[in-house]
This record gives sequence, C-alpha cells and structure tokens, in this order.
Amino acid sequence: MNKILRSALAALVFASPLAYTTPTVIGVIEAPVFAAEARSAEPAPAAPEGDGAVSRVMWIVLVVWLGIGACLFKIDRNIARLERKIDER
Amino acid sequence: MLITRLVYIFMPAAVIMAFHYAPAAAVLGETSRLLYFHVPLAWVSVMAFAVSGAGAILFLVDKKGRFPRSEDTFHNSASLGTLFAVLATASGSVWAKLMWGSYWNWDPRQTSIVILLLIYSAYFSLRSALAGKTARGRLSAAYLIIAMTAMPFFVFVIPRVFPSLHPDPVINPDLKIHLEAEMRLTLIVSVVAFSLLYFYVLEILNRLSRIRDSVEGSHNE
Amino acid sequence: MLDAVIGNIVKDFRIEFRRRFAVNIALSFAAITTLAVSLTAGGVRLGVQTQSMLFWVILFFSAMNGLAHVFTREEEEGTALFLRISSPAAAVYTAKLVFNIVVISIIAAVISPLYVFFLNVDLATPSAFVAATCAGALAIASSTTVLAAIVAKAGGRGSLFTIISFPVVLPPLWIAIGATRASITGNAATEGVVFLLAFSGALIAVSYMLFAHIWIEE
Repeated sequence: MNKILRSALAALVFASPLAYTTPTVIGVIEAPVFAAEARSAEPAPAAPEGDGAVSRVMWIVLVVWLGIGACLFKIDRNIARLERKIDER
Repeated sequence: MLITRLVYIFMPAAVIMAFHYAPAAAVLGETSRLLYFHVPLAWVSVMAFAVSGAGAILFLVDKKGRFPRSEDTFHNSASLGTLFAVLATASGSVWAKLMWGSYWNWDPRQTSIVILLLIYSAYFSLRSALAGKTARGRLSAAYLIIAMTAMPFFVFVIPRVFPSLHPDPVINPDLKIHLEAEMRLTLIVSVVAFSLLYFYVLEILNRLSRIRDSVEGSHNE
Repeated sequence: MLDAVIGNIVKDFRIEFRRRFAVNIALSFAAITTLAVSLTAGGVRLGVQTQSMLFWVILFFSAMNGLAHVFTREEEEGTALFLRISSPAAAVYTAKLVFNIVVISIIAAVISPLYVFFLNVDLATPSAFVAATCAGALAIASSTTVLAAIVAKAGGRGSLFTIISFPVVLPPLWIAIGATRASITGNAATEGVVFLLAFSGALIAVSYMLFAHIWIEE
C-alpha cells in the first residue's frame, strides 16, 4: 500500500511545474486525491484569460485521475491475488 | 463485472472532452465546465442511495440466501454514496460561489443533498452504536428503508417550503439557455464515466468485504 | 390478535400510569422549554414564523425525550424476550404505536394552551391550529415508533434516537410548521394536514412491514 501511495505522490509532484503559475491550483495538489477532482475547476477566477489555463487545469485533472486509476488498478490486482489464494485453500 | 474496467477509458475521455471538446457556455464562460463534474457526482450519489435502499430490501426479504452479499452491498454503497454526496456538495457550492457569489443559498437541490447527508450520518451513527451485535445488518437495513420512504415526501415538500426562491438554476442553467450537441455528448460521457467509477469501486469494496469475511470466518467486522 | 393488541395496550398504560416516567419527562421538558422561550423573549411578541417554528421544535424534542421509553423500558427490564414469545409482532407494534400516539397527544394537548398563553399567540383559526397540531403529532409518533424499536436494540442511549429520527421527521416538521403558521395567520391549512396524514399512513405501513424484521431475533 505504501508503494502505491508513494507512486501517486510522485505523479502529483511531477505535475507541480504545471501548477506553479496559478496559486489556487496549488491548493489542488495538496488536497486529498479524491476531492481534487471537485476543486479542479476552481482556478477559473484566478487564472488569466485564454485557453492556456484551461489546458493546464485539464492536465492536472488528468494526472490526478492517473494517480487514482493507478491506485485502483493496484488494489484490483492485489485483491485478485488474495482471492486466488483463498480459493486454493 | 468486467465492464466496469471501461472506466479507465471513459474517465480520461470525459476529462479531455470536458475541457477541450465542449465549448464554453454562452453566459457562464469557462466556469460552465464544472457542469461535467458536478452533475455526474450528484447523479451518482442519488444512484448510490437507490442501490443502497434496494440492497437493504433484498437483504431483509432474502430468505433462501440467493443474495449473500446484499448486506455488504448496501453498506458499501452507503459509504460510497456519502463520499459522492460530499463531493457533489463541494463542487456545487464552488459553482454557486462562482455564479451567484455565495457558497450556500438553501436552494431546493442544496437542501435535499444536505438531507441526504443527514440520513447517511444517522445511518453511520446507528451502525457504530450497533457494533458487535448480530442484528446490526437487519437494523441498519430497516433504517435505510425507513429513510428511503421519507425521501419522496421531501421531494414533494421542498418546493412548498421554499416558494420564494428562484427556480432552481443549479442543474438547469445551461440546459435552459441551450445545451449544444457537444455539451450533451460530453455530459453523457461524463455521467457514464462516473457511474462506471462508482460501480467499479463498489465491486472492489464488496470483494474486500468478502475476503474479510472468509478470513475472519464470521459475519461481524 | 386483537386480544393481544388490547392486552398489550392495557399493560403499557397500567405501567405508565403507575410510574408516569415517559410522560413526566417529556411534559416537564416541554413546559420548561416553553417557559424558557417566553422568559427570554421578554414580552416581545415574536413573529408568526418564529412562533410556529418554536412550537414544533419544542414538540419534537419533547417527543425525543419521551417516545423511545416504551421500547427501551422493555429492553432494560428484561421483559422484551417474554413479549417476543407471548405476542405476535404486529400486535406489539400496534400497541406501542397507540401508546406513543397517546403520549404525544397528551404532550401536545398540555403544551398548546401553555404555548398560546405564554407566547401571546394570536390564533386566527383555532380549529385549524388544533387540526395541524393533531396531524403533526400523529406524524411524529408514527414515524418515530419503529425508530424507537431500532434504538432500543442498539442500547437506547438518548441522543441516538434524536440523531436517527431527525432526517425522517424533518419533512412532516416542515409541513407542520407551515400549517401552524397558516392557522395563526388565518389561511387554510388543509393541504398541510392532508400531507401529514398521508405521511403518517405511509410510515405506519412501512413500519408494519419492517417491524417483524426488527423485533424478531434469530
């Protein structure tokens, strides 16, 4: 479990250069992974005009989803392994 | 169910579509993109409640043991439903702040999501008070069914209690103004993505409960 | 079956009459709260919405204090097992429901004149006020009786009953407040009363179906 968390954190850290320009988005990085999706659209008032900001938000949300998806995938595989072990018993 | 694995495709697709494919709405601008996250979250939280209620009914009437996992299903669905309801409330209040300048207005929709959260918190309080008792599944299922019976009355009550409020614009602004084909498609993809996510995590939680049961060899957690 | 119902009702009333536990606590709470509100209002006549809201808040919390007693008493005194064996579940539920309805009617009957008196409520249509109060009391009693059965099996600590009752009692509470307000200002309260009766009916029906699952132990 720790490995999964660490890899998710690494993914988020790599995404931070995208975020440093918009202060509100940094709050997204520090937020719990699940809730980050809800707040990802918050930067709209603070972000400058133009669809550069929109792309940036999109990439952050995608990276967050990557973290969540990776966690889910790992959990799925671990559970499958446990189930196989139990069925063998 | 293998179909839930499609979430790995649908969710990134929904995110990309929400930001690039769908155009910004006429009046609201870029903030309208919250629609593609807030609406599916609210929809899934209602669906989770319905699944929870159905699971509770199945659990109580199941005499032949045809649905062995119904107890875990309704409890896990309640947990997931709480999470999605909290997220829906958070995204909704952020959007309300952007649109009307205040986080909370006691709009009909906001009120009903608060009631749903109240029901869930009462359910979890009951559940923890019943820890260790064999009747826990039955009693918490009974409570869910009672709460579910009271819900339709809510939907009826709320328009009468808040007659002076403007008609609910939370769900409707873009739909009333106009929902172009691209926006509709993005919304559908997003709803599908979040629903798949819900069913996927529910399935994972159910499998976890099953493993825990067989490891501990009893029905109590 | 009818014998079991009547027998249980008589038994519950006899016990209650002997010790007057539930009624006393609930009535004292309601009276104290009413007096406290009147005292702190300091003679200022509150608005109509505030008056109707406070009335129902007082009734709700008195109900929370008094209505769980009928089931928790059985669990505490160890008579629950005997009751399970001797009477069918539906009879037990009917008896407890009737008892709770009577208790909250007593509370409402005592508190309404006290409230109108102390808070200077200017009733435009007293009959509508009485109807709204009765219907609201019935709604509270019918929705909380089955919840009291659940709470009794969960240990019966007082605040748990309030926590799980509140979301279920909230719709009739809202409507009752609206109906009371209508009766104070002189508008028609019939819609609210009909809603409260419908709510009571639906909750009683669901409670009947669920009670067997709650009451009977495997």
